[in-house]
Amino acid sequence: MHNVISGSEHDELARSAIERSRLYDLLATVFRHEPSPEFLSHLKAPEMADALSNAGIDLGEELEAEKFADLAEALAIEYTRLFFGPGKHISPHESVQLKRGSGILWGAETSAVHSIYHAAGFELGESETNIPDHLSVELNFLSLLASQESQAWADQDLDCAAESLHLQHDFISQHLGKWAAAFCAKVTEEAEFAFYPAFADLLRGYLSGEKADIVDRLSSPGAGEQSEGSVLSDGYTEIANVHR
Amino acid sequence: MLNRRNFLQVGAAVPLAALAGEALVRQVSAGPVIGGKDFSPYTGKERQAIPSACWQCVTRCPNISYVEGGRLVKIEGQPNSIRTNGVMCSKGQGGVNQFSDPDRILHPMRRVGKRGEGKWKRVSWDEALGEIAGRMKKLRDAGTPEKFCFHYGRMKASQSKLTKMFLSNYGTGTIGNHTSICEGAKWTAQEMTWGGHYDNWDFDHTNYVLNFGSNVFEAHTNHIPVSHRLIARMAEKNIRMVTFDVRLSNTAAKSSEWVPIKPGTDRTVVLAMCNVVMNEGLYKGEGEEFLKFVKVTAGLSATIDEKVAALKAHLAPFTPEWAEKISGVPADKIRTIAREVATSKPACIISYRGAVAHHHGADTERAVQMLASITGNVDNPGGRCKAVGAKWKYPKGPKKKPKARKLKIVDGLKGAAKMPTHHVSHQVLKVIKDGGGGRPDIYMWYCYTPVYANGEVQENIDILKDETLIPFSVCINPFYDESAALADIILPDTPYTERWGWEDMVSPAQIPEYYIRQPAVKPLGECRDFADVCIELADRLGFPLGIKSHEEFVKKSCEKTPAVKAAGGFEYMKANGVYHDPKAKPRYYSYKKVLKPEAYQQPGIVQDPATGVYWNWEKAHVKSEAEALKKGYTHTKKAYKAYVGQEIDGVVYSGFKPDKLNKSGYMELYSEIVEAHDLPAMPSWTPAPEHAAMKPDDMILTTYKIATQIHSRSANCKYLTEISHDNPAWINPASAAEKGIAEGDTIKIKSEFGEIKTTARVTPAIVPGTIAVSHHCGHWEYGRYASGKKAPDGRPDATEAGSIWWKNNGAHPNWIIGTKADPISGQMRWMDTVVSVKKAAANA
Repeated sequence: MHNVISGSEHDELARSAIERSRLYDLLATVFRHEPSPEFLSHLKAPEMADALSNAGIDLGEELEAEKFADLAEALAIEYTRLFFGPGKHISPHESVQLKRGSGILWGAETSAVHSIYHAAGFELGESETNIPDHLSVELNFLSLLASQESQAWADQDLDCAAESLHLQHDFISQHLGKWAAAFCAKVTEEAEFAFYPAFADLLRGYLSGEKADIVDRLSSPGAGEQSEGSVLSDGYTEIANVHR
Repeated sequence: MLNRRNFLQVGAAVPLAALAGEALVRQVSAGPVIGGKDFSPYTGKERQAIPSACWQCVTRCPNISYVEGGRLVKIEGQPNSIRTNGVMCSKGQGGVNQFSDPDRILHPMRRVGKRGEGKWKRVSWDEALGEIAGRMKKLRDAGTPEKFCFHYGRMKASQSKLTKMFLSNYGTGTIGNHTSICEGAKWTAQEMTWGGHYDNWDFDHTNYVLNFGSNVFEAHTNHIPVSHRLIARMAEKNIRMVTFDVRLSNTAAKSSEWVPIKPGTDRTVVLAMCNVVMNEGLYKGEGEEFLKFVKVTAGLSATIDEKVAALKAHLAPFTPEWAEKISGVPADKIRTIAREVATSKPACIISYRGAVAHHHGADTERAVQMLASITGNVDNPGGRCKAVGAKWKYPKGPKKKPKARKLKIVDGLKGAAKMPTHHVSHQVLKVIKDGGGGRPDIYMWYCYTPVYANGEVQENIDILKDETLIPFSVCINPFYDESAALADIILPDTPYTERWGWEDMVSPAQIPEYYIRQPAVKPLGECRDFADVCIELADRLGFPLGIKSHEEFVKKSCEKTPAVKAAGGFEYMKANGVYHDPKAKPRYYSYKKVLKPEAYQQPGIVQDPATGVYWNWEKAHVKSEAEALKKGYTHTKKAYKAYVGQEIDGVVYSGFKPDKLNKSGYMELYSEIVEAHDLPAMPSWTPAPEHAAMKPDDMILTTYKIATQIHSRSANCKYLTEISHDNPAWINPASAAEKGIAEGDTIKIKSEFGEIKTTARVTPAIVPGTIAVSHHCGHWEYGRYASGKKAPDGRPDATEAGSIWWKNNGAHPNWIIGTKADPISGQMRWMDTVVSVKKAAANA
């Protein structure tokens, strides 16, 4: 049985989850395709600009100039150079990046990630051309899990919220968290503009604390019964336990 | 006391009635399952097996692609293939890396910097095809579709049919290929002699193999299908195989005997063998009988005796002693082998680039045809046979096509070749630079790397970079190779692991095999099969081809092809991959088929008095019978397409059906068509001018392919490049000693076209005076494995270091090999380059 907590606490947890979902979505968008001028102008909107600034994210003087079309064109070239090449590039795929991993496109790691999406009840859209372990797809998956978590809090479905948190924790532990930081460091090193290093910093910084935060959230009174020591594991058997 | 014996006695005592008699495990096949199934070593689950086809080399063997967790994990041979019997080479197995290459191009790219600068922007397919179609439309609307030049490399079967359907409906005839860097000289020589090109080697039934310059155990146009048969024949029947080569290739090493020979002199040995066969009467029997179908004199009236006399007269100067002086092969050795090949019936006489990629290389192939003819080893069981392949029926697209217009850029520089029936496409860039044949506004290349695959690499780079020579260029490629780096737009093709197709490659069993390719996995990223792109471009340009996709083309072809339809059509092919008629008998002696009178006694068909050929003048677009008789078969443009049969001694035979040339239905060892081009009517000896002018210290550079790489498109495959990534130059100890070169020394090889640095492998496995550098190495693009260039995503951990553990990526010989052509066929003269070789200073 779960402890009884107030509706406002649930609202707070739901709100926090939706914020995380949106942050993942923002990062997924940044690494999914070249920024449009409109996207750049959104980043410059006062509320967003403040938020980024408060988070210590500096998108550079290029954005300050507000020549969004020109910057979008320049960043499109930067994006291509960094993440596609052709030729020398920083592959945004887990299977290529993972330390001691397969080093190939659609490696065993990709299949594992793909299986996790399926196990969690997701699948890639028919028209999706990115490979399942593309950075943006992994971020999108976390966004969806966080969104699911938010809804669960709102519905006061604590088991579902806890399951979603477990999935996020394990996915970060076993996949994204294993390669994103090194990837981000390479982006920072290779980029010419401030744009991608800024978002790489945001991703790296956010992920560095996320696992601990999830543990906290799972330990919160509203997160259900956590009686047998650490609930976090490297395997999905624990997810099954949550169901039980 | 209990012991083992006591236990067994219990077994013996058991009454049968006490046993359940129920088999819990039942046997489902006669032996272990070999091929066709595979299981994950980790989960034990059966992997999804998808029958498909290879596309690493031209052989295009049927395969089975295994998929696990959505990824291609393994490629094996197709056990039900009559061509391969389930055998697959390392290159085919390494094809999994084409799918998983981390440096694959996944999206269309447009250059944004200077051409070749390496600055790109991802664009959408719509944007890329919009620009290409816009430019193509402009040319077409202006009445100059020929200014769109399409240049392909490896393109066959359904892929070729669809692409050419697009090109012909667009209206360009400016189409380059890559046959002249393969074996164009062989094909031209075969068209001069026995018509339609391609010789199958019937190793299943042969008793002797005589090989001039084929590395059949390592690389061949029909590699595994024939090589595994030859290995089996040698192992099971202990047949003898003799290989003439400048180098102890693995083929030579596995032969019964390797006969070292000086580069480019094979023809002298072949002619001398012909001399021995004729002078010692070894032609009698099958050879003499075959002479009925052979033309060795001018005109038609020669008797067998006259033919024998003509051959003897022609061959008289070509004695073994004469050949020894040029080739270095002892006269006695030539005699011995000539006797063996003539008496070991049947014998299979084979040849490839080692023999023909030379000055007058086409004449070497003609000489080989002569030796096969006079020993009675043509299109017979165990001999060199006319090729048999699947005859697919397929949708032909719109009926009305524009008349093709073309620039004169695919047959080489002026005077390059007299009879380039397969073109001189390795000189296309040079001819564009020359400008005399016109210049294209758009140069598009597909499955081809003009920079790397041809000689004179620096000039190729300079021309492709020059926007005044080539204003707009498009590369279709799944990978970023040396040529893609110089394009304006790159369209990401799917590797063969993600596409459809039907295939028709020659069957070594002389029984046609139908087979298809189907995607093992969905195309990665935004990659698209170029056949599908052609269909879309046709739509955008306003001439729909009536086909929705390559898949639909394959499906319709399965429905249209009677043999495949009867077997179960598209669904059968998807499930099984391959089909051959189990009741079919191997096809031999096709030339001996006697035509029924109704086949040639028809309106529109006349007999040509000069050649004895029956031909359909209506089909040849001649206005009247009178005009046809006046003009004659030989002098009517493309009359070979209207060939019906050949009268010989009052009987009309199928004969040797012509192709590309208006030859008769005889095996023409004497060719008036060749003679009309101021070339010898019969195979003769013409030395390479550069070789005659060599300085004492000069060497001849030769090249070769190895078993684990194809020429230009496999070095991105990690499994293969891990095995073969370096190619030190082979040099004989005698030559090395003269130049003060020791094993492992850094050496410089210099020709009139440039210089390369490599290391020396001092070995007696090459003839003195010759230096050998293999293909496939020395990439400077084409991804991390081929080029050794570490991407920033190179992982700085131990696994990464172990992943690309090799430090040398070898040397590419094409920087210093000229794009010179065989003056007969236009074949690139790969093996004729004169070089100087020196030890590099300070051994740096």
